[in-house]
Amino acid sequence: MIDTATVLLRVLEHLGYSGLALGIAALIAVPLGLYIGHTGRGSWMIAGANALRALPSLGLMTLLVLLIGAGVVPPTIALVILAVPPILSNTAAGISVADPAAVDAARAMGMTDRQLLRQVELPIALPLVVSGFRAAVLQVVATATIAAFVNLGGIGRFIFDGLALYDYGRVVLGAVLVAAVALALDGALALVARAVTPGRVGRTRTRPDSANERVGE
Amino acid sequence: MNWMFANPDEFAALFAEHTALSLLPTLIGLVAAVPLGAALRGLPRARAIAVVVAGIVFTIPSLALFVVIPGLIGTRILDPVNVVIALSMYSLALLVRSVLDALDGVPPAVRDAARAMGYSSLRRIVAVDLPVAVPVLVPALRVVAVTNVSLVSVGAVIGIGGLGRLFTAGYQRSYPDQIVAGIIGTVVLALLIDRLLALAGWSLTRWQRVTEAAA
Amino acid sequence: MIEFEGVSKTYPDGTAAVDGLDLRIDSGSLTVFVGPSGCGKTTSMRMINRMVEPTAGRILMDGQDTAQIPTVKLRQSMGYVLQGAGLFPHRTAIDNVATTLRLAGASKADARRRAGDALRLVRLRPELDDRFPSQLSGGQQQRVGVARALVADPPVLLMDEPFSAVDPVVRAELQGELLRLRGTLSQTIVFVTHDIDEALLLGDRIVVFGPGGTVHQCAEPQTILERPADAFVAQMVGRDRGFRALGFHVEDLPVLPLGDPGADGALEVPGGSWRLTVDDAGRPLTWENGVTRTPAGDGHAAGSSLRSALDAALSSPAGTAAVVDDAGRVVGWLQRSAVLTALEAPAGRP
Repeated sequence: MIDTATVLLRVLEHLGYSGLALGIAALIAVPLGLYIGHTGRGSWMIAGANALRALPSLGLMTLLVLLIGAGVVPPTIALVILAVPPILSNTAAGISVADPAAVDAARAMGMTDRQLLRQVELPIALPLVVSGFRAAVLQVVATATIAAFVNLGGIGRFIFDGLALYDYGRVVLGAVLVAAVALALDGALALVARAVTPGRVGRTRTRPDSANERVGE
Repeated sequence: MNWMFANPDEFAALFAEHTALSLLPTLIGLVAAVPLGAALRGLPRARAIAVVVAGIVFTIPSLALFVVIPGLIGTRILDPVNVVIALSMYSLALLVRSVLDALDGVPPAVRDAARAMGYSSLRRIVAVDLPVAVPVLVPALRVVAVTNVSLVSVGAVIGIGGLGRLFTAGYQRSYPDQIVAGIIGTVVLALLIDRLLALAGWSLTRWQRVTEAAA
Repeated sequence: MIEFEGVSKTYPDGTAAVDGLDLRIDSGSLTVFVGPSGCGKTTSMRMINRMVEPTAGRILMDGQDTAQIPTVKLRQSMGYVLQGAGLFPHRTAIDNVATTLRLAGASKADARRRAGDALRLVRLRPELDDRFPSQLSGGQQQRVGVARALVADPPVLLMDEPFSAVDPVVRAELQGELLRLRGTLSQTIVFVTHDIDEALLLGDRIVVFGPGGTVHQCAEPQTILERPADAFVAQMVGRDRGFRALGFHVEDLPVLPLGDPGADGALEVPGGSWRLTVDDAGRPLTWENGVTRTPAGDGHAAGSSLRSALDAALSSPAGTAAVVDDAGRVVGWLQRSAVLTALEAPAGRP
């Protein structure tokens, strides 16, 4: 049957595919997003990236396998294309929503563009960048299961093998594992998001009955 | 491309199936999310729980749901209902948060005015809150619809998936042409639905686009 | 008539927004609730149409406990004007107004026709009827808000800081409009503001709220100015209390007749070197004495308050004020000494 070592191997493979794709996606999307958000130029790229979301990963991956051969490259490309749009649009949005007054003040202090970006805009944008990254992680981890369809490893292996062998237990194991990995990573990133939110405080308390009533004045 | 022209009937059938499989969950999600969101606004505790649950639902990979649902509700593994249920859950999870955000965005003075005029809660939500919330709601609906189009094709690995079946079939026969036809069909469908929803939103928000101040 | 009987509003955390309010609001009056932020004035008003439920006491509407009236029916019998108007952004001006009538069951055509009439009443130009709120200025939006509250001719009109979101010029215009409308309306009006001057200008009666939701004084504007109940009210009323109180006194002042105008149409001020030039309609333009020229104000309108007379006399370089008629045309002179004499002999003033 399935031993712990196999499970661990599949999970590590899964994390490997996901991590590779997310790393490449971040290397592409973060600098591009910084540039678009800082200069306000090239916002057509965001629209273009969003159109990429319509590309079906399974189709792209199978097509790439037929065109360039099996291996890690086809699923990685498909996953990178999945991960770029959320990171790109959130990074650009985060930079461009940085409080104009703060940016103005920084310029008045004599900051160069580079200093402005690193010391002001990036820290302000970081929470949004992280949330874009979270969205990308969820999608990539979920979609990495299809790598097993083109005879690679990862948690998807359990699902496809289970389906082929009519072994429903194996299918469920795969499903639960993917969900667990996704939840764990999302939870970890939620902590990161909290850590990078500047000046965060507890939610401002509101009166319990004020949901529909304006209180006093 | 050749495959598409050589097999127009099969392509059209798969396209139609894909359309149904992606639109139906979007619609179910919306129809369920609106009253649910409206109800949750008045229940802060239930709302907090619902938002967390929605977040968890969204972390579950679609393929995992497709294969687990039959075991949970006793459908056959090849039943398209599995896909519809799974995607409806995603749609609801995403949309209920958007409905809450959109209703939160209705200016308190507008809601107040409606109450003071003697609108009942239900009537106010339908006649005032929802129309005012459309600008926030439609973009979310577009994301959900396009995501559904893409997720339906994943269903192909378990034998249901509209155009996605061209991917599995093309891959097994080493026939790239068939895969390309599937990709083109999926992308066209996604863009088509996206544009139609954008247009619907546009026609519902004429009031928002007129901004030039009167003299 | 609206009566508050021991009305309190306490929030679950123990904060008292309104504490044991007893109050009578006469039918047809304009009562202003005034006070600083958080004093419970808006909460008190919102309890009238039960947007806020009292935690103790009751509110009677013409003798009937409002808690016994179905909420929707109660609210439909009361127009409500909000700060910033609160217009429905997705409906045009006329449809916003028509909504009130549609809710009460009027047909679409009838509702739109009457909505148009209401918009004419608040003097919105007809070409603005089909605009959306975002296309209207703040003042125009507030006119629509007032029309929406008035269109069904409810017996009560509640106004919650209706003019505080517009600039001072438009505010003065809207205040004037409300005073004008009062001549044609029979509504009982409850008006909430934090601006004591607005309260003094508009109110028949003023209810001064203080921190903790207690009422410090409930009286006519003149009484508030002349006999503030306590230090809080006196401080609320602020500086120049005595001078502003003159605004409620009208004295019969001796008006000197005009002489013949000069060749250039200018008027000679009696007993001095000053002349007052006037425009074609006979309204004041400038004071001149051959050395300097000073723009003249509007002058003192005959029959208006002692405050206006004193202000006109003090601000004229000639020491003599121009008295004008309803059309703003100069009709006579009022000497500073005559105003001071009237001030010396207080007829019923404190």
